[in-house]
Amino acid sequence: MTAVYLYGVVGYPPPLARGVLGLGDSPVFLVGGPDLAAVASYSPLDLWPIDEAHVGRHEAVVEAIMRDRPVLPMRYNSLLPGNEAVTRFLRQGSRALGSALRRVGGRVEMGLRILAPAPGTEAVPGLPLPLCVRGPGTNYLRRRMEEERRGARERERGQQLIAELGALLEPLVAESSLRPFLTERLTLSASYLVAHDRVAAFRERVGVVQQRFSAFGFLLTGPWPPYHFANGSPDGSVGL
Amino acid sequence: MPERAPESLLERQVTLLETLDRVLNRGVVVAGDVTLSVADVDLIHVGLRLLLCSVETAREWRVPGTFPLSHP
Amino acid sequence: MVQSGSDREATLLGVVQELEQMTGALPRRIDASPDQAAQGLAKLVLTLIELLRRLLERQALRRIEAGCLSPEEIERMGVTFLQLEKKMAELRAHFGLKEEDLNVSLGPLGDLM
Repeated sequence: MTAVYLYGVVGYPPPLARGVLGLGDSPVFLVGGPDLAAVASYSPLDLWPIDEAHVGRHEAVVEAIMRDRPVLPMRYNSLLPGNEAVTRFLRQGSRALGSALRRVGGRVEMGLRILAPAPGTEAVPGLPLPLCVRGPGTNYLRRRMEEERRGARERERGQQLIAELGALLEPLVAESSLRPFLTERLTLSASYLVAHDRVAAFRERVGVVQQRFSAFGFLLTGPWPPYHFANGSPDGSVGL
Repeated sequence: MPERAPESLLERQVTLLETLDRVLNRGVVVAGDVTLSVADVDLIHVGLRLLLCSVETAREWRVPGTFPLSHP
Repeated sequence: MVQSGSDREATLLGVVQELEQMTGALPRRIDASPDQAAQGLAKLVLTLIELLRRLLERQALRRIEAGCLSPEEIERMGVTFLQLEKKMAELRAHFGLKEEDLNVSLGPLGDLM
């Protein structure tokens, strides 16, 4: 049974550039109108595998559209049973999709990961007195308490970094989605919605914060399609 | 994917992980008939895992071992 | 981000490791084969036990900091936690799981305690 695979939602028209191929090398076309259209291709009614080639193709199609117009990227494996279902989806979601499309217009998503320095092993001063007594159990708990304290200290520095970064980027950023401390070392995972003409300034300011906190590793990626800002509001669902 | 210039293996891995994070967990979601019927089947398989993650996230793992992500 | 070569490599590697640790922390599907099903279930259960063990340890450390435990009580408690940790290592080995397979970031949950 044939289904329609969706890559993204765009304002309608103009028509798509020719020759963009979707999953299974199926040609990409527009469904919908008059104000909204979905970028789609025909596909078997089955989930596509999660591997580099297939996920990469989805992403490549979204990026190809992003080059000439604003796009709301769809989640991977968004399948509907036919063109009528796509039209219904667009009609039912028209208000939310329309406003999200206006929000992302002229803007791109930038990704930032900040990695805390690897934990040290130096002794931590000021442990409670009873922990200085010898004994395997006490030793174990002392080690654990040192780890906890080192962790707490790192966390405090990370929080300071996040605050400074936030204050500095705020004027340049339309929206942001921040996920602090996803793991102990991953101080921050963030996505920012940034206007095209502010991307250079944005990079520069991130560089300034990086110099202030040079022990941390900074990884700036993008521009991406606005995945984190495609829905009504940034969600807090489980992610990487 | 951004910065497509010659990539080291590590860069490629980061790009892939970053892409997955977005493409699998974010973006507009269709709540259509098909998605639901697929989800029903998945729900049976996923079982206990729902304690820890949503169906969407769980679905990331449906093809084990084909990915640098997994440690088979 | 413009970074010098080796710093950038280290950051890339660190980010990859952290992200893989996170994805590894979620048990994969448990329907693939009876073997993997047992391992998947063990992983889920051991992850929850590990989470509880760490929460209990934190609670113990809080009480030590508050100064309401005698040295003897601390030693006894420490020995118990030490044994619990060894037992967990045995169970992990039995099911062919690595320490990071059960790594749950306490993250925000740690703040709740």
